[in-house]
Amino acid sequence: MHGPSLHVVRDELELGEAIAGTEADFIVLVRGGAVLSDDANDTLSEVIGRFPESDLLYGDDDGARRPAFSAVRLRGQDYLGPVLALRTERARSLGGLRPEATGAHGYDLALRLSAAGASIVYVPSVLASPGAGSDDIHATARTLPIVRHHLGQLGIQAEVSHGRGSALDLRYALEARPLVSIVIPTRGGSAVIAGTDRVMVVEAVRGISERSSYDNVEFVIVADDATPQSVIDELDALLGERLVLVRWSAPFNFSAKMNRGAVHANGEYLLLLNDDIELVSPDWIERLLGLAQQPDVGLASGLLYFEDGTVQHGGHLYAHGQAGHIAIGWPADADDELGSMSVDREVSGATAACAMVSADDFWAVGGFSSLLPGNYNDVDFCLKLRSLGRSVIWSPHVKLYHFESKTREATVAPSEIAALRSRWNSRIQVDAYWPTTGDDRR
Amino acid sequence: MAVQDTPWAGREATPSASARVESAERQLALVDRVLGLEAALAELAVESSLTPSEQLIAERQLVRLRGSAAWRIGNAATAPARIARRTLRRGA
Repeated sequence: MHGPSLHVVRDELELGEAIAGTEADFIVLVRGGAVLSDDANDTLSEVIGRFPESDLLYGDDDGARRPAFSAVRLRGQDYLGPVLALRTERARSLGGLRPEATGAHGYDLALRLSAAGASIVYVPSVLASPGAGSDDIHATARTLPIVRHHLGQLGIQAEVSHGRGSALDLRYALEARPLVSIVIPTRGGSAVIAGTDRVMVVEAVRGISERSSYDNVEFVIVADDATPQSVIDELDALLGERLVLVRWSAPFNFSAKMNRGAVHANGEYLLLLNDDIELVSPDWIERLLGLAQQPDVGLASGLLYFEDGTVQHGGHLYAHGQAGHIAIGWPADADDELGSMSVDREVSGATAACAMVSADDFWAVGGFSSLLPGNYNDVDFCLKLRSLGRSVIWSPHVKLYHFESKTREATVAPSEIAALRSRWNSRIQVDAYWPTTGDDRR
Repeated sequence: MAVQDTPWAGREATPSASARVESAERQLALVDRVLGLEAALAELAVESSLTPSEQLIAERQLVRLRGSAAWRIGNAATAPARIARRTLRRGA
């Protein structure tokens, strides 16, 4: 049995000719002067043989490992690297190259294939060494007009501008201005932040109330019986009719408290929030909503900082049977070789310390599991969403402080670990969206 | 801030609706259990539930693991026990 035939092209002129006339099954576009590795063709043939439904394949190069395919991330960045293997028949069915995309035809074809629902497969092998023109591949001067056209074709309204490095900044227009229920579980605790004693929930709510640019919100505060009366009074005075006050009389159970809040929420969207946060980006709700309203997106979250300004949350990372945070402890302006901290990107999961989800999706997955009262409830929640085909998106444009202790060691009940593993053991071994996990590169 | 002896008082959300709340929470728990069972079942047929990229990434991870010093040392250390077990099984 013969493997697929491959036709290697190294510039856009050859690409156009190959789409028009080649008899090969796949066209391998080598971009930016990259040099194909010796076994690249064999590797691609083997993967195509195993997964014959593949329409577009991309892989690693000497400079970077890449994450699994994500349509949302591709809109914000050409992260596919120097080698694209395109099914010839599929490329032809798109109608060939668009003259307006000259200089970025590979990216344009990838976006058009993504929009057409093609099967796009990441090959976790080094396919090439980057060439002198590798930076040109994802220069935003080239990618920005391509993305505007792509969004126009899909009917997605968004402002697109240059972001940091190779990233574009997509500000999605809201379909409407729905009521958002900000659900905050609390016991009214205090802490010293920047030398000042503060009641966490009151200051979180005050900051949001005074500085958020989105105002169609209600605050669903799920308060333990032991919450000081002064805290309740202050919340009442701050929020008036926008306060939905819910009592919690049982022992601590984060999952059940969040579910109780969701039951009382009136909003079309729920913004799940811890009480020990402080707002940095005034447009955070618009940003989260814009992402949450995209097709197939189930949950949107953001960039959280520790009090000292280092990163607390860059998305969840599931590997080796454990769940952790991407980029934890990194300096605020640090990034990886792909620019992953600068672009809206798909993640395996995200923290419930700040997460936007539609009320419909919250109910569709049964909210938070009471089997996980203190830990991993957000991991389970995200994996349930993903099992229904909904994606989880992290955005660097949604910034908050999360005053969780950097040295906090969570006490995890053995029953929680058992519950998580019985459901998702295979899903928490390797992380497809943060591929440097588990090797020695960082 | 000192913990108070009596619970707080305030403009609470409709306590009369407690039955509705209980019912809604039961509904959430039920859906959670169903999805949890589905996930546990999917674990038994894990390969078919992984995308091609996920399968390839998992395989790469396995190859790396088998090439690591920790795996080789552990494999060598447990070899006598494995050989003994195999020998006993053959003899049985």
